[in-house]
Amino acid sequence: MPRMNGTLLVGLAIAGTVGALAYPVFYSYPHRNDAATAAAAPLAGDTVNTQWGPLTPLDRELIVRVRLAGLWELPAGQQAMQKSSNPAVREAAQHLITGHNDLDKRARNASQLLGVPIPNVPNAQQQGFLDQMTAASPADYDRVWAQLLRQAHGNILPVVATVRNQTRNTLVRQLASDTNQTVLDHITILEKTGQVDFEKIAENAAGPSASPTGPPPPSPGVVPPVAPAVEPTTDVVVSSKPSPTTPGTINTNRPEAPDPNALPTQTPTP
Amino acid sequence: MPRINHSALVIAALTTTVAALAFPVWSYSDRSGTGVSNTAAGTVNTQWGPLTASDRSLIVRVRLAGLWEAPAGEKAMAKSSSATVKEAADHLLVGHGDLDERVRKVAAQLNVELPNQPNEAQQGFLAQMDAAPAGKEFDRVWASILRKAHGTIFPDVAAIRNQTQNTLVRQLATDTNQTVLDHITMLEKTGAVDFDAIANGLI
Repeated sequence: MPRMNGTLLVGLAIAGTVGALAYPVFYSYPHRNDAATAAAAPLAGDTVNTQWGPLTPLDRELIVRVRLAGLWELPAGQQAMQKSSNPAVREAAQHLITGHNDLDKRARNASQLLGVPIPNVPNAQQQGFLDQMTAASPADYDRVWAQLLRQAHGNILPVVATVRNQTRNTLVRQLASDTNQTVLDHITILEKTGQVDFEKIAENAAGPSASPTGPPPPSPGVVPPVAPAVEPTTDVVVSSKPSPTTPGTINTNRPEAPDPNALPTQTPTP
Repeated sequence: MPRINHSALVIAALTTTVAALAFPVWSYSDRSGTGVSNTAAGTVNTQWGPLTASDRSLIVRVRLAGLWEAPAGEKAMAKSSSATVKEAADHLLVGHGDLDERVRKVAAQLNVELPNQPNEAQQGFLAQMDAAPAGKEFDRVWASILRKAHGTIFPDVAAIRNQTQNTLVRQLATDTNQTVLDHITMLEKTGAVDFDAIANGLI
């Protein structure tokens, strides 16, 4: 009888051990990229058709994120106007207020026309950013303020660019173009304050894995051959102007956004 | 004596088991098959700030863009009869002429070697344009290939604009962002872009 119990115990222990050994081989490892795959699949998800073209989850996310940006960056701009005496910070705050007032109108227009529900309060993370600004000592205020805002704008810029590339919805396409201009303007003006820590931003952008790839570093003392200019080989007459503006400025001129309150309201799509 | 041997056996077996259990914890941390990030890999210091491998990649890609998109613009000027295609081609020629000047200046300051020929894929794009019969088919091939290429680089330019610590690369990324968005917009105005194919990665 004691012998029987011992065998049972050993048998159970062996089964448990073999199970634990097999788990990573047959479950964890084959499923290691599940989260990444799920994150990359929103295109097929709940796409709905609208008169302006298909509207994907990523399209709706952009509308919501532009709205959320206004919900915390407007108060952040207003707070800096009260708390900072640094002229460069106050100039950046004015760009934030003007830019997000305008973008908010455009996001609300898109939301109404496309029937996308949008939030009316900042999310928990954004509320946390505002709390950090409020709690910052006068000596730290400009630095904390500029860094949080520069980081947030830098995070959204590639997302805006991705939506601008792949959206099939004409309203979202225009919103993405306008957002690109405003976000790049805010990034530029926030950097002009001289309060941004670029090393921290580079660290945050690097993520947990993947080292940067690219051409090898230049060898010290070796000057690469001069590259000839790209020039037309035929006689072509061109009349357009290059897009870049004076360094430090971004062209945010565009027609006034229509009043969102004057638009017809649509029923929200699922 | 046999008792000691058995204990040793059990201890050895337990040690092996515990080690085997612990191993996947270590291998899991590297589950996507990439090394732990080293943002400083290949980074050199310059008087304009650190220059990373990603920074150099942007410089080379902007140069490459000019090397095939300027000829592509010329092809459209010669081969297309569509006013909007010619207008887009005008923007490509002017925009890449301007960006090429900027990128050559930046590359010379940072000692980055630039290519002088389009890469293989880009030569393939130009060959596709040559092969397309003039008319609607040429316009569609021309606009779709160029729109795809601009749309692919656009988020990469945005990522560099965010993360670079080099002031010359930062300004180049800003100027490239503005030029690429203009070209995307002009190419779309031709009405010859297949948005479904772009969204589904079919081009």
